[in-house]
Amino acid sequence: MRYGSEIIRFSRFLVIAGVIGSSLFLQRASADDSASALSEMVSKVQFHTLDNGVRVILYNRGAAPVFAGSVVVRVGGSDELTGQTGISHLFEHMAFKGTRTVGTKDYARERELLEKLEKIAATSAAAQQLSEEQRKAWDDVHEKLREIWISDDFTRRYGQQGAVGQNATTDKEFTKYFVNLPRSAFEFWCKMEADRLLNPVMRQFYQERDVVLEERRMRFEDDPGGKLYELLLGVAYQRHPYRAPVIGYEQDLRGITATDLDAFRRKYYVPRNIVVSIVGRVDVDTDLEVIRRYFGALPKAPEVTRSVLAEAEQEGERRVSVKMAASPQIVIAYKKPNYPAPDDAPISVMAEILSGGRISPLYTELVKRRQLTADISNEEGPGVAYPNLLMFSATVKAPHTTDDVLQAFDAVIARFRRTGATAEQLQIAKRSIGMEYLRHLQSNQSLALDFASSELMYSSWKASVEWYDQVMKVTLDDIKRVADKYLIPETRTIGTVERAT
Amino acid sequence: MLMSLLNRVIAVFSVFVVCLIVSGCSVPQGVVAPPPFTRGDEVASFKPVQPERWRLPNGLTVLFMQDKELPLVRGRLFIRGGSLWGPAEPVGIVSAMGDLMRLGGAGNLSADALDRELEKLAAGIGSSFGAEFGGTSFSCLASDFERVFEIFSDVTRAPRFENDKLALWKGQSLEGIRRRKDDAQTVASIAFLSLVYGDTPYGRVVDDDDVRAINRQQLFKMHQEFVRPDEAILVVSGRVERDQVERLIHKHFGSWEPRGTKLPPPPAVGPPPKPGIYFVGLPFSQASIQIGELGVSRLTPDYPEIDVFNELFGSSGFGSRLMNRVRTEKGYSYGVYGGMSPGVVRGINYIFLQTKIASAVPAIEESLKVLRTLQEEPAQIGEIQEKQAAIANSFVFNFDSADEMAVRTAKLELLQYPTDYDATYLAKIQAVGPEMVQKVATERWDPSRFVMVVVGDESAYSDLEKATQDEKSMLYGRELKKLEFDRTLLIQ
Repeated sequence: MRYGSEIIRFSRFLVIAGVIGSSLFLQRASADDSASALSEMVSKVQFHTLDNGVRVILYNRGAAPVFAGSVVVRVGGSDELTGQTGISHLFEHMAFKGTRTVGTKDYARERELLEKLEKIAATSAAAQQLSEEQRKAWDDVHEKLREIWISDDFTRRYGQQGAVGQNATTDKEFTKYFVNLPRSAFEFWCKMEADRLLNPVMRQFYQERDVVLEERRMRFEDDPGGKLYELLLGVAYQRHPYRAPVIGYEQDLRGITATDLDAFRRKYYVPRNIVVSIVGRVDVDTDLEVIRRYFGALPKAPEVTRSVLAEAEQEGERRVSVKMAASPQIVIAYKKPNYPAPDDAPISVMAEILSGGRISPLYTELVKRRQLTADISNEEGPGVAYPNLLMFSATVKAPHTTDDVLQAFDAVIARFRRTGATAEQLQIAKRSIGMEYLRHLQSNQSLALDFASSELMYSSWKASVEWYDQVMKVTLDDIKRVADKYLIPETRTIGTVERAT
Repeated sequence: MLMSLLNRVIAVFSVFVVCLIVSGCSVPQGVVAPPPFTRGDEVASFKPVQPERWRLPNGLTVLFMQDKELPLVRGRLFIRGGSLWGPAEPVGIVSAMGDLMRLGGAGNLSADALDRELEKLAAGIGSSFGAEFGGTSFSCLASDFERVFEIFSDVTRAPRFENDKLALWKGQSLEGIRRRKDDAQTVASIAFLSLVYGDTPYGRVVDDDDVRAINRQQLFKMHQEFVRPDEAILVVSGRVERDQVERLIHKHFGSWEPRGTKLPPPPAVGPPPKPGIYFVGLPFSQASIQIGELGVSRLTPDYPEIDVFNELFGSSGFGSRLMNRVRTEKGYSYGVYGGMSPGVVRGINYIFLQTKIASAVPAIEESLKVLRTLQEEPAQIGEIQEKQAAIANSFVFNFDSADEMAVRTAKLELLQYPTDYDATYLAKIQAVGPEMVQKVATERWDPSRFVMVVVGDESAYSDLEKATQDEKSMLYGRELKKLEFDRTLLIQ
């Protein structure tokens, strides 16, 4: 559950603070007087639920008059329907286009013109097949709109306030909007973020759709690793929406209209599905009132319901390979349960033992000793809400082949399943997970996003404390058990890039 | 270790990319805001704590910032010097030395023993050398500081450069070189820098033969030459007392022998490159485009207006005119960036973008038009003020943590910025007006000198050819040349 899941990283520190316990790491940390500082951190976190259901997390820290603000919505690729893949991410892009009062000189007039565009789009396959007459009307309307639009007004206003690192991301489960601002822009931030949740305008949509197609080309069509990942998920999952790329299939993207986005927003951008979190300079006495004034304006709406096709059990190894003008690489992906399944934490520890560092068995054998690959790493993903994958990936070193690598990889795994881990390996892995998290805590932004996504996924910003507790309790027997249960060919998918000759 | 490709793609998608600028050490800049945009009182009156500073007799400067929030200690040793001052051959030897300080064992620890010990401590130590700077770093739990600092000093002062780890590094490097062609932007970037800087230390690219030629004796020689305290700054921050830091630095770095001389001035940049469009045909669905010319040195007298120009033109993401025109209004590109990236002698003026093959020509033309407009018409005062406010209001982020504050101080010093840089800079930025920005556009940029690299599917070539023959195109009359790329650029 570690990758694609910043949630967990945040939880680690909470555990350190709250559940001072048995692990070596914790003993050392408390020897270092970290326990009191961390407990203090946690005790300062404020949690509120507004009347409309929006949840708010505030955490005051640091000396500088700055804060990281984030708005996280529980929607992503795993919520998408066949034929509309990519809509969550496309909406994320559109959320930077402004509102009824930002980005336009005359909203009333603009609205009429945008409606005209949507009428044309509805009868032209989402503006892909415009007749000559439609094309003329389309261009005419755009010409008028260009007079009204103030391009990039939303982000330029942020820039003027001193915004740093403003961006947003979409994954399988979350859409996250985030920015760092000077404290003086706190109310500005509340106003702008609430405005784009409440009154977004789907302007310049058809241009932005092209931008996303460019993004798709860059990340997936031209990138061997990206292409392989997309194909791998499409084979590892046959029914579950994890099979489709978050960025969407090209044909789906081309078929989406601004009207579709409106419907999408009304369903998912609702108060119970949104968490707002602020980390940095926070005034706990007055900030909540400001937040309530802006985010409290979102109208109450029904809770989001989800019905997702479950993945049938895998009954045999699957393989997928892409031939292209690129050097070989390999991904070996094992099916695994997701948190809160009890096996989740032991699997993360096992992965850390197997390939987490330069003394791990996979690194030692594949990279150092036999020099078959230039690297080896592991990730868990593609999401956290449903059973997911433990993926090992490696860059194959010439003149070796993906088959050579797979053979050597399998030998290491077989040996590991036979002998299990050592007590020292287990201890190093736990410590490394703890340290990784401590380093991660230094950023206001990571903390803000972690709080919010954890709250949305587990209905408690502290929920994943248990996960960390589980990590610290993992035993050598657990490692042996999950290795035997999950590191098996029957439920794995192997993906390779092979050089086209 | 090469970064896993999957690592990159498993990450989620963002609304926009972060610009990858080719320059080395970038220096944050700050200003006070001109009216009508004023910084909040709380932000304007914020006085960050300055790092404590002392100097060893051998020249090593120490910057120390205590930060008790987390039980961690971090250290960074910045050393002035790098491949610009290295031997002509083999290319990459200084950077190899930088990598292998950490990878090849140190002090009484073999490379494997070093890996093992750091894993047990869950500590990190790194080392690297670039063109102008290099150094080592560590990060550990406060309780392990003493031991990790000792290893860190061995990595810095007594690397072993073990042969088997050199061989491992060579294999990994060769694989990295082999894979350059897998990524259009890598190809474009290598081609662009090779063409702009030519056969000088600024433009040379490591190839297979260089990597194979590197041996252990050379690594020791480079280490002797470059890893010296004379022009070095050690930054330590975290939950640790000054006494302990001072004692350990004295113990481990007190006897570090200085070179005794400062580095000579950096080498000169070659003659200006031959303008033209350089096409590299590789099967990518997007054209990766890098356009530009030789630029200015750091601290050229007009640097304040250059910084405002950069914000306005294309270095500020969505706020910039390039992004506004090429991405938002035209939908041609996911990322388009442009600006002046100053260098130690001469930096580059650049426009970088990717776009589908069919829109390569119009996207280049739109980008050039954005520049032309800036040359022909002064920007509105409001737009200039907006950019000044952006710089002013984000200034505080240079000091938002103790560590950042100390690192910034070190970088400014190593880049040889004047000590009053921040103080005077405020007034200078505020004094920038539209005509000054226009002057940057007209006097610092000359599109007729541009080198334009286009990497992508062969079909883009004919579009470019047509454009160079079309009087109405902004590419009209430019020389168009096909180049081959195979690990490095092969110039016919």
